[in-house]
Amino acid sequence: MISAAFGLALTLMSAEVTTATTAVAFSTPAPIAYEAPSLWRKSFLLLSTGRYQYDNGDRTAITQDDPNNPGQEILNERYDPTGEDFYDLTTTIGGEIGYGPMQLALRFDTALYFHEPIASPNANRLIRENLNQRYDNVYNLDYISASYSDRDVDLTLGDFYVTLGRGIILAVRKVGDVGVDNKLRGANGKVRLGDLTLNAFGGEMNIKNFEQGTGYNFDNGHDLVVGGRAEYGFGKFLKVGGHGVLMRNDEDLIRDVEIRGYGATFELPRPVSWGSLYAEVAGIEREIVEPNQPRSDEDSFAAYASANIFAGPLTFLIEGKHYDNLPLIVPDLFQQGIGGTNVDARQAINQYTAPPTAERPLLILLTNQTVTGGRVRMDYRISPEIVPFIAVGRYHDESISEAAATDATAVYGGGTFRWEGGQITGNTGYRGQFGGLDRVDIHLYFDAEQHLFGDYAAELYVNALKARQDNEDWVEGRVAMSLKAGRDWAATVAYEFYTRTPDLYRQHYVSVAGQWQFAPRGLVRALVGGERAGLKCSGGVCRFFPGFEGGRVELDLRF
Amino acid sequence: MMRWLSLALVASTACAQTQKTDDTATPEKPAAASTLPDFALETVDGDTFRLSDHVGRDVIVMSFWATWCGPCKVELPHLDELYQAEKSKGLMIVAISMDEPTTMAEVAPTAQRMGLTMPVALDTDQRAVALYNRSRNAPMTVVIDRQGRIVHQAAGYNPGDEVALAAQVRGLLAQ
Repeated sequence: MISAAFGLALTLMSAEVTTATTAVAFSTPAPIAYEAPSLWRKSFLLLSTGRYQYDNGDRTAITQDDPNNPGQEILNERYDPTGEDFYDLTTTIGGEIGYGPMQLALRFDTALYFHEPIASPNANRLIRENLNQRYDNVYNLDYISASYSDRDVDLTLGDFYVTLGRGIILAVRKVGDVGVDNKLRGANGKVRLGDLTLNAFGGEMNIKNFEQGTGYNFDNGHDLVVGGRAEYGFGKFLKVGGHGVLMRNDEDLIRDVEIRGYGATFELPRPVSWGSLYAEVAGIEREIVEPNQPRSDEDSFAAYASANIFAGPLTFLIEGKHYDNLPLIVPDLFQQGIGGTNVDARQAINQYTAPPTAERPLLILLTNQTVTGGRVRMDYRISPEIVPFIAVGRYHDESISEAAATDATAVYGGGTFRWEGGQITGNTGYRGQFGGLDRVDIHLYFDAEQHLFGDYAAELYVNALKARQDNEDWVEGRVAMSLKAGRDWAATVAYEFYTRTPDLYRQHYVSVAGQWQFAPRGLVRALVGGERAGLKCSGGVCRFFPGFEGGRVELDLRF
Repeated sequence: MMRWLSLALVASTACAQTQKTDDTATPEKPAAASTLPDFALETVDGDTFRLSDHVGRDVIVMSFWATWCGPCKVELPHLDELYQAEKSKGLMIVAISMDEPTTMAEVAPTAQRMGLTMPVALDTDQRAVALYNRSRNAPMTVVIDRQGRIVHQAAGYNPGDEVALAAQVRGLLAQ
């Protein structure tokens, strides 16, 4: 089977993920030209980013005698006491070699800091502690895997991604847009026996260990994760499956933590031409054992379902969820207090789970633990070029506490409109949440592109949010205009804003960026100016990025 | 354990020879099925797309996309036009969704309203991504010729790219 016929291929890893939120500046990585094939697949990648931080836009260092901080303000995740006049250089070197169905992949990450910030001798304890865990140079074998894949068997030794069902009890994955690259390092096997698929895996969590913007380093957390899934399909009409996962950490001298998750899925992929259905139920049990303490247990339950109805030009998407006390599970399980109260805010992005939100995908959603609700979205295909939609959602959230329950309503609409040489995709809407946490969001998003002449095209991108929370109003967003000449080069002027105070001194940022493909497999990007701080969400993961002001040069080489 | 695995492999081979769950599968197992790492993904229609059903037989275009990717949704209708025009000559185009659990429910309706006729597969475990699009670009196009060789990869989409791709694909189909 292995030696049947070995092919010729060139598999190249490529640039960072391009998403709707970042598509303007660097949306067109280099094409990879045809290369005469050889008997082996092999590739090499070098991605290097050097940055000079003039001022990251957050507050400057606060010292005990700082007149700007007479009350010795407490640090929070938005607060960054550093960020002036330092350099960082991050480099990813990767390689792959493949032979038929076998593949070996390696990737090294390094992060080097120069003239890095240090705490003032007069800095308070929090600032000293904050800086002591940052700006350490990093040399890390981030990814290593050997895999074999044929018609019936997938085997991987080393790093792999895995998601069970819709990610309610386990979703170890890469979300490049927010710098998340979670893998399990161990072994993963899948066997397909006709209509039955069996999957078993085990390993330790392997996260991306550094955060370029802030210089934070994170440990992998030596949790043992073991799980599996069985799925049986009755043709294309019905698929049923069950899965489970066990997570353990007994490294901590004081506390042992064990988390067990289980779930079942029921899917009617296309029983009739006009619809489909997916449903999942899951439970999570947490057990924390501490010496001389009564054992702590906590149980969670989740149910999620989605249905599609296709009625001529109309398409309906109906999603519903009922989550009861779903925990935030992060590496180093011994941090896991009941309710996740001990979780480091910055570590919280490296979650083991990613339950569906049933909300607008780009929504910044901070609570999804105890909530019941859903949404209906209707698209009307007037023609292939004109497809408007409207969506309505309603949610009752008790994630903070039952006493602080909130009720949220979301209404938004938009669509895709195309014409000769151009197109626009966008939506706008309202989301109001009242109760324990009052918040109102009004958003506007659109991305318009127009071919000009020859290879030239222009793009306008707008993503703006007006928000009000607890009597505080602010706006945040990005407006960018790009000019592109095929794949050869692109130039972008961007304006970003974030007026929420008192978190930031700077509220307005302007940047100029360029991209030049100097060789078929070589690309350089540069940016001068500033980028706003703020939450950025992708794939259900939100991360707070510090502001940036300075210069950045990125080199992207492949062989 | 090894005995069990061997039995499982034998059983699975037997099943694979007698059962085809992919409507687009070719009637014979391709000669060059092992030239590339294989994967099997569920499609939004409930079928299974298995790469080895087409390697060595068809010209294959893998288009990695996601519902949150604007350029992808511009490119996919062009790819589907190409698929409809050339599938009878041995072209297989598969749109591989990289959507996360949060947005996976939107894949089927998005494909429906774009009127896609080509297979739309869900890479739930990021298996195909790990093999053919490790950096998780969207869109990402991978072209495989009839000998099972990857002859082209390109990340991103610019208006007009579909013209060059169509010319390349038609050239490969003519070989």
